[in-house]
Amino acid sequence: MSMIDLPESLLEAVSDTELIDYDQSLNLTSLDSSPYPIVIGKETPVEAIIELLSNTRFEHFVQEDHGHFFYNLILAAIMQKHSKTISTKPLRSVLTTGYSSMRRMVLPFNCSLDKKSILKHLEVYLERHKLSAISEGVLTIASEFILNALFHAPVDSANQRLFSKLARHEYVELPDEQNANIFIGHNQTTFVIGCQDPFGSVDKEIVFKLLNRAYGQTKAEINTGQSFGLGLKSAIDNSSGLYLLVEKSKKTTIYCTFPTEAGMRKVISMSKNIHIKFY
Amino acid sequence: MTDDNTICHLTLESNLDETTQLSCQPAEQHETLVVDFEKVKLINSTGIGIWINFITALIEQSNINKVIFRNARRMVINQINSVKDFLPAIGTVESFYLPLYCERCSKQFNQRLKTSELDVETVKNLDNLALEIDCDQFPDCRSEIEIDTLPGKYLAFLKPT
Repeated sequence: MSMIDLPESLLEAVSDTELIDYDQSLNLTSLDSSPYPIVIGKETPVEAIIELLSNTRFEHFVQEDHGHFFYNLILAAIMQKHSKTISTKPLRSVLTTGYSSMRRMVLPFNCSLDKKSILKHLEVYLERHKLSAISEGVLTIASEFILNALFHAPVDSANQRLFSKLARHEYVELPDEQNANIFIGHNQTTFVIGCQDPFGSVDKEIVFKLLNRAYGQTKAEINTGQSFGLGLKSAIDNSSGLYLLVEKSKKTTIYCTFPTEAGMRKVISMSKNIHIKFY
Repeated sequence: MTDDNTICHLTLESNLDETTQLSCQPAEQHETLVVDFEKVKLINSTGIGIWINFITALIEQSNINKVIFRNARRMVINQINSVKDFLPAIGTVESFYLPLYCERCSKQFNQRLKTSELDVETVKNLDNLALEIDCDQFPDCRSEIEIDTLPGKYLAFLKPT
């Protein structure tokens, strides 16, 4: 990493990052002790990445053939060591290379009635910025993020889920006048859609259990409580990368990226970068 | 829902999501259910569950022994290919939309195809089909148009599982 011409502060931030080659490290679990590891792959299927991240303490998987490889490595390294920086200003962190040309929008919501207008705002944004080619993927992901933030994320002071057993057409309102946010932004190369909720209640074990189940079958099966897994799968399949940062009991930030100058064919065929970090 | 001898027609009026309310009561003589997905452009995971519960119960509680999907868009085809029972075992796809992308206009549009009109060669060389289609913005964009999905994966529903 230190051979790249980077500012001193950035070098310091990523200096002790260890890069591990997925294809050449036959026994990845033995490399599991590195303090700041990032696994690098090439055309690695999502199923294999999920299996790796579930069975080790690796949290970042960056693909060489994804595009913007070094930038994505640096982003992963910063995410590894400075997760709070990323979750405090996710758009600025992710779209930093084209910050001057960046367009963005943050849409707060606190009840289920807000969903329709948020999706409408997103549709208008995508149309206005000539990004409608990716709108199917973006709107599907936004729909999953909003439902998750409203129904699955909210917990009480005893960490009990408030609304997870309710039918998703029921009216719900986030407790204590709290808001969640849908955020979107893009620069010349990347579009980001994300969601942040003030609960940090996502359970690591459950995330991987659902993802393993969703990706472990030729065809996914719908059972009670599995829609969250299917929603995450949908977010991964319909984007070029998934970033899930969970600050326990404080905040969950989840976002997906898309290339801006492409249709869905490119998006779905791209090797996926996946980051799932709990801290 | 409309009646037509042994055929029962069901038209979905909007996207499949948590707000979807489905109802259909086939008569005793109805053996075939034709489902029109023309207006279904987006589907979320809750909508998938609602659809599967609905269609499974409907088949169990009626004399329907054949289900035909009509005008299935990308989101519907994706679910057929990846979610068990979205297309019931007694189901087939009569017509669907092939998503296309014009690089020059950065626009996505669709071409409707009938499954019965697809021969083996067309399916094998689906990318060639894009060369015969005009962009809906400018006719001279033809060479800039590509199929906006992975043809092999997209047409997986044509193969018997």
